[in-house]
Amino acid sequence: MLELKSISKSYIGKMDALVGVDLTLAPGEIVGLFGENGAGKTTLMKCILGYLRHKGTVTLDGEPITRKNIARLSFATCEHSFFPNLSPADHRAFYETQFPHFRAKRFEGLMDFFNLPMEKPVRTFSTGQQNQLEVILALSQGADYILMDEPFAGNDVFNREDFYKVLLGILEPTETVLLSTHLLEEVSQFISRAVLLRGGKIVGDVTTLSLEEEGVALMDYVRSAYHYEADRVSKALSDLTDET
Amino acid sequence: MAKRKTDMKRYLPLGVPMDKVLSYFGLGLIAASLVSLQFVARYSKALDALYYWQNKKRVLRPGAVITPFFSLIPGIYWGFYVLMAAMAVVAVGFYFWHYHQSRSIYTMRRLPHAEELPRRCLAAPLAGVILSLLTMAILTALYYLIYRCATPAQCLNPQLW
Repeated sequence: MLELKSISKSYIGKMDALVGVDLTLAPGEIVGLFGENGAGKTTLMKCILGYLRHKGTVTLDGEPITRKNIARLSFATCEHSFFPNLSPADHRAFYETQFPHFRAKRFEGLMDFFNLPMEKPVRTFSTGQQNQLEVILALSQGADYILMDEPFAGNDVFNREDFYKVLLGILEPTETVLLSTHLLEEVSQFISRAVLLRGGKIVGDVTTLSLEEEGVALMDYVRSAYHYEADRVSKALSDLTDET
Repeated sequence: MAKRKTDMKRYLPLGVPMDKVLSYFGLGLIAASLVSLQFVARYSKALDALYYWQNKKRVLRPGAVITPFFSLIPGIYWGFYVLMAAMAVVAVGFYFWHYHQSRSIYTMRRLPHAEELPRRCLAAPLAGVILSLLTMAILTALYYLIYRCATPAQCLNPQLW
């Protein structure tokens, strides 16, 4: 169980990025983390991983996250955390020395499925290929909790759909995914839970099963949680055309 | 040899070309050593001062004593000081290598082996400093040997400083 209690983060000179976030991720969940730009999604993930100083606590099965258990978390980010001059084969060799539960078979299988070259340096890959490798490394590390921060920016829709299907197929019951993305409707089919962030606070937390039982679409739930005004566009256009 | 090369890569940030690092450091070491050859010019001058010319012959001045050895040393090793200062810059550069073209710093900061990042950033620059100091010591010994062997015995200064 990954537990976040009262996580708060402020940047100097800027408004609070996170305010008292409480969140629990259970084994096996696939959680979509949604929010507008600046909502705090990336900051939340970085606080979980210990990259940022913050208030509050993050525990893994009751224990603080230290070097002893950090290997149970993996991270894929749109900023890319791979080593550009190394080939995927070199990455595998390095990961195998660092992470005792590295899944070599899964790594090779995903590399093969997405047709990525094993021996070329990653800096020669296209952006889409780099995104794929980033996610493959996170999935193959052998972690129990896989954090992905907008990993599909730059990938075409077919590529993304393939990835969702593969993800669902390969994840084990104990593996948990926290996926931050703007592509709400695309991922709604395979996430089990949606957490909404706004202004650094959680404004919604719902399972897709409960939404299904209530007959509510995820997008409608999000609009409701954000108090989205359906007629804001027509109002704005009306104001603009009145001006001219 | 291949295994030794791979082992040495553990002391550099991942992806930094080891051959280039060794080449640049080697060039720096050679350049600093060449700068230290100022000793030869200083020693030649000090040696010449022991003599005077008489009838086109070089004659040893009676009672002449050569400049103390370590008085000839100051300033000849500035090349090595620059090299060692550059190692500090290299260490910082190695850290910021992890922000180049990607954010591999995110991977390095979440490794179970906490020593991995500092080792890869600091080991090579520290080795550079140690090698520089070692080279300075060897050159000093070599120059002292020259000083002792080339100076007439009766002109040797009892003081080293």
